[in-house]
Amino acid sequence: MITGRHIRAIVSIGITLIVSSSGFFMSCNGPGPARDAQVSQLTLPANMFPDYNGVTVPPNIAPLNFTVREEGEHFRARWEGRDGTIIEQSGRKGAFRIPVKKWSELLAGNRGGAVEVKVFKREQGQWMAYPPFQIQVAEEEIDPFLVYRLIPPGYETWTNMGLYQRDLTSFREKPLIENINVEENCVNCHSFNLGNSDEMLFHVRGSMGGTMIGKAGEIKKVDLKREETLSAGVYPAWHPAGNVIAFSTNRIEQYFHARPGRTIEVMDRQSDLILYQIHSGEVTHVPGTEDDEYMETYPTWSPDGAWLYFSRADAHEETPFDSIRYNIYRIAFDPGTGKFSGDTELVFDATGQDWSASFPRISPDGRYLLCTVHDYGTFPIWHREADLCLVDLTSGAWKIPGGINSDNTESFHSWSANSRWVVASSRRDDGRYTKPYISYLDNSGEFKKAFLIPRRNPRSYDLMMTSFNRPELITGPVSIPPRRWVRAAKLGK
Amino acid sequence: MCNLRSTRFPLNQQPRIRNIQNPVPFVGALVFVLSFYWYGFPARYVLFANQDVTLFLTTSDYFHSFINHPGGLLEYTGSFLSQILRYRFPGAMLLGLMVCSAYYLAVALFRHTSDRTEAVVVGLLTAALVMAMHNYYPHRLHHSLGMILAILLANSAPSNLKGKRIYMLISVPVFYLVCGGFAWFYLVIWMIIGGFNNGRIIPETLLWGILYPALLLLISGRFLFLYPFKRLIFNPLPAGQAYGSVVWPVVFAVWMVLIPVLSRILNRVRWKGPQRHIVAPLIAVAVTILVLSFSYKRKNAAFFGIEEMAVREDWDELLRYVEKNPSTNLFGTFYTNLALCYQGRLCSDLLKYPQPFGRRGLCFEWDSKGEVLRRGSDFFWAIGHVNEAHHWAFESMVVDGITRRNLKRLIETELVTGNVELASKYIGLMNRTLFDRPLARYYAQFLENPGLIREDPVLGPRSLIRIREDFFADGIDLEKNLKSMVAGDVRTRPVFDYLMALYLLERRVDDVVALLPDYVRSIPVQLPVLLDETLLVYQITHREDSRTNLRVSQATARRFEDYAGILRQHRDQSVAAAKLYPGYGQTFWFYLNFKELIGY
Repeated sequence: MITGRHIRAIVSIGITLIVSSSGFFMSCNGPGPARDAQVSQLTLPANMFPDYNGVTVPPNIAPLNFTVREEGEHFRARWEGRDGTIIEQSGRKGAFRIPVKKWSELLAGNRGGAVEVKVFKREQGQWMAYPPFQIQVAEEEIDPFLVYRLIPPGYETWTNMGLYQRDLTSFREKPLIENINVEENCVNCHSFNLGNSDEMLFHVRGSMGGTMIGKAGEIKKVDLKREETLSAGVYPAWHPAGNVIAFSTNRIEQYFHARPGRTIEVMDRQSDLILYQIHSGEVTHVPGTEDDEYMETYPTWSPDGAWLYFSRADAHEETPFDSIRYNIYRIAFDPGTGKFSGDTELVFDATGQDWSASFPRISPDGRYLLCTVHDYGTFPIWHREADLCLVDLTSGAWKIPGGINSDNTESFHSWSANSRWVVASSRRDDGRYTKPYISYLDNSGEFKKAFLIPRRNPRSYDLMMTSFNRPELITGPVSIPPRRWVRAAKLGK
Repeated sequence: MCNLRSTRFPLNQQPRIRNIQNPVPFVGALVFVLSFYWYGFPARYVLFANQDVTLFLTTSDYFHSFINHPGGLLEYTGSFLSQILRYRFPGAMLLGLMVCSAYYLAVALFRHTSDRTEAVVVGLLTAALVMAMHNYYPHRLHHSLGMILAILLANSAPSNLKGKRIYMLISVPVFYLVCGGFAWFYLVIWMIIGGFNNGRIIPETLLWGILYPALLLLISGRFLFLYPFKRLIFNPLPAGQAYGSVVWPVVFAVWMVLIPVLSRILNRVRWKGPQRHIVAPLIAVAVTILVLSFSYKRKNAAFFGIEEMAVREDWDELLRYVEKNPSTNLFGTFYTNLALCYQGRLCSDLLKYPQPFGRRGLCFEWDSKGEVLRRGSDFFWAIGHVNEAHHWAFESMVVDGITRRNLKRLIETELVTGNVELASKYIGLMNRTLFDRPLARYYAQFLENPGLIREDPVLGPRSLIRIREDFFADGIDLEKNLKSMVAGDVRTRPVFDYLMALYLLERRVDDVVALLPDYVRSIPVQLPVLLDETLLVYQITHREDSRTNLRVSQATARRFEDYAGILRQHRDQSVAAAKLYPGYGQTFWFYLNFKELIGY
């Protein structure tokens, strides 16, 4: 029988354990170098990952946890805002995890300003300081959620994959749907109407094949294949009015390079554009795209819905794969009548530069077109030379901006609702595993140095064997739970 | 721990057991020794087949990938234990312990309702069935572990009502979460042991044995896990397409369910006399031998033996083995040819070994599933087609999960192509294993000093291969790939040897001779004997329009004279073949003339 003596003993032991473990954890949190201690200065910056040196971040981003990839007995870091807010943290084996609440306060207090980061390491009892670096905090926030597909960057096969929603203000990641729930069908090509999570779609390919369209809390599963179309709808684009979706239809082929340096070549041999009317279910071709004179793909709408932009190549089945090049075109659309008018206009002449242009996307303020340029073809993720290209729609001027690009692949991208932030798929870290990088576009049209979206454990990227595919910024969380998507995939609604 | 003595008999009935020498521990020890010997020697292939099905990683992501579904923790444990199978005697010991556990549990199950000495026989037969399951190599450690835990749990259930209720309330959901579909096996045994009274089912049995688990399943599927019901019910039982259709798990499950029934039946049988202690054990031994011999597949043992040598890259031993034990299995043929290639003997000894698969025995056609995918990379690695070797290894990783084999190949291909960041990532992953850290350290040296790659005997030669003209790899057409390599200036011996081997197997004499000048220019060795023999055939059949200046060796010419002499003596093809086979069965001429008779 348990008596009061037993209870007292248990409580005493418990208190002792709590106190000693607090002491243990507190010792993990310090001590750092005393302020007046001799600290030798290192000349080279810390080899850290992710690299947050000199980046510009939104004020609502999750803590930029990072790891120092160097040997050392002990590591410590200090974040100092211009408003005087300070965070000090020890790095367990060089990995720093900043408390979310303290970080939010630091950024909130330094909006429009900067945070200085000092990193120290101790070796043989001696503290050394790396050159400090700055993190700029922008005024403008970023859309709080990012949706992406996690999939191994494989060649042909897949097993586990899924669509996930990440809260960028914290580290929370939730599945929207995983293919294990739908008989291991492929789920792909998620798309939102101007970042609105209440209007979204994705495809399911396999035994439960179809396109899942979620609108105002309702789900509809549709089959977009028609007799006169090349395929079911592939790459989607919501019209801002939300009643029409443009899709490409594609006949896609894939090949594997023998020479190291290149891996996979994915190309269209035919492609067209279609419009799907959500309410009536009608599928029609975008005028002028149904023949084989050109290959049209990657539709996207202007924010006012008055133009349909797309990539187009003057190519046919016999064109050598490395001669297939796309330009960006547009055609006028009347949202009231639902009809296209006028001729197709050339917006960006990529072929004039011996490039091909993919993934045209217009900033929500209508000023810029961002696309991916690469040497040839239509699937830039496998092209190391692929970069983002910014076209000023008011002047027609274009450039390959420095801050957001790297010497490796930049590919799919997404604008934030305020047109200030862009998320881009990038393979800059290892050339294979795609990760989402965020970059700030300032008022003068310059992109700031991109940063990798932070994770709670900064080392987790090293062990991830999946790529972040099609990162899409959205303004609010997806409200439809996974269970409903699964049910709809199985039953059609 | 369950009590091997009966717990269900009043004390005054127990002295009978104390007066008889208890054979259970002795037979248990024998079972362990037998199974240890079995898996250490004749069925050693079981260790090899299971040691690299999955690579156990000490990362939280790896752990989380298992615990998000019922049965995941059991699979995780199985993955951990499988690493021990890499080591012959510890692996055999592990399997021995598993077999032995099944033996003791079966004895305990029998002793729930009977104190007869036939318990030992029952235990022995159970052990034999576990061994039979493991002889079928897709049977994993976690399959047996799940069964053993189910029996243990059922054995341990209290008999008093209150205890039983609490036990079932807790054990059913916990066991289901940990072991998945094995919960049903547990429940069936539990119902058989304690669910009947004088032959009638106790009503509460239905509640705990059927209704309660059904409710749990419904809750799991509806609220907890968003998996298809089929998966929630069956994972990770030894069933389904991935496991294949084999009777042993079913026989085992039925046998375990019948043990309590059998014990009750035997209680009513009066069998006195010494025969009782001889006949039953004899039957047990006889059945054990039959079970083991039916379940043991010599072909699998042979094939995995070959593969083990191939993975170790012990080509000498592999060829010595297949000389005595020629393989007619696709994978065995593939590895034999691979060994010949590495020894530079593909175009001299190709026809010494059975070639029933033609070009498929040289290189597999692309297959995104199954056994082919995890082995195909070896061919492309051998011929220096690094991109394609990477392709197959990567796809194997996607489909099968990370294994030592595919991870090692990914590291090798990334180092050879200079992708240091990727190599570093994969080496980092290898560093998070239990037993592969030394290998990770070996590869890590190349990250610190990439210049060492050229000096490495495996990586160096492949790092020097330059494909002058890029081409697209063909998943089906081996010939196209090899010709493209040659056209792309990859004129290494393996490429030429495999292309020649393909022509030889398809009896394409003209193609062999057309390639000979390139072969001779690129490979400064004496012309391999099969190519010499083919050249002779060409010269005989193209006396008027020969397009080669190459000469057949005198030794080959003399041998052909003898061959032709014997051939001319016998009009009957079968008789001629029988006469020629002992001396000329490995020649190209024999293959050319009698391929169909050989049965290829």
